[in-house]
Amino acid sequence: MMVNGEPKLGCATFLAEYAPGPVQIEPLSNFPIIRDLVVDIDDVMRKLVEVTPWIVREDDQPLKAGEYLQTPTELDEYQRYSMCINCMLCYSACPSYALDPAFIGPAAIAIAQRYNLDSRDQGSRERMDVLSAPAGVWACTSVGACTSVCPKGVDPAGAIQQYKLTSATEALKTLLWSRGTR
Amino acid sequence: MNEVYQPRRYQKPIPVFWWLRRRSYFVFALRELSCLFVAWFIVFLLLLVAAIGAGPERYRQFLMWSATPWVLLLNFIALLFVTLHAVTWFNQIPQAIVLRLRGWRVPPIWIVAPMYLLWVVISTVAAWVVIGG
Repeated sequence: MMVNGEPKLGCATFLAEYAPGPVQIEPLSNFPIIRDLVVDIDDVMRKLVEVTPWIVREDDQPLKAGEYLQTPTELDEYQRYSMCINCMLCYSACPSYALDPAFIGPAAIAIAQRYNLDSRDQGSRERMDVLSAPAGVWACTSVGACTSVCPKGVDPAGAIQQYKLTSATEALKTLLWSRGTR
Repeated sequence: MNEVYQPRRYQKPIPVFWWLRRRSYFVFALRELSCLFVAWFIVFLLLLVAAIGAGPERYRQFLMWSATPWVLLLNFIALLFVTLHAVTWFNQIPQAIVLRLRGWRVPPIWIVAPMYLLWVVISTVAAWVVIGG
């Protein structure tokens, strides 16, 4: 919810921090309000699924080969993006989402990067079309409010900027390699 | 026939001055506005080059025009905005570039510091050429 105009987790916000008050409570901004403090989050739920937020394998190793091993360094690449709790405070803080509801938003991009950077995943190509679309990372205008309100230190702004670099690099490669094969 | 009840949704309108509500929004708006002053500096540079190419008299007239109060004020404000533009751009670079050396993540300050150092070096050389050279 919004507490004195700031997106906050209601369960982790203490009245003592706002003493002597007053405290103004509102429904989460940038979402359609159903009633009182209840907002409609269907749009974000749909967008989270659009980015294929699961491990995608082109080739599964046989069961007898055991689990997919991962070094601590490989885990460190994506671990902070896996801490998202889908609280949607980032969507509430994001002016790009407020002004352009088609934007897939910080949490969706962060969770997509969580899987893109996972060494076990082979699905980055599958996510590229959604992330590189105009309503994907390129709708972000680098305000950074998403990172500052995130209660779990996910840094969605960092995920978005990193993917912008990836997307631009891939676009350049596609341009150069396609020209080379003509 | 039973119809599923769909409650109405209320979408709160976005105020015109939404960018004044948070510091990050305000800095973002200023950063976007700074592009106009970057464009002004480019135009000013082109006018300077054209004046130099047109001869000493035209260059002298350009310098006199540049020294008028409104041009000085405009260029001072433009300098502040261009500085903001550069600082916010440099500070974003470590967000986009994550460097690892044999598994060790290079601290963001190591990526940003050379940018600022290069900025100071180039500015110093340019100032030496213009003023002292």
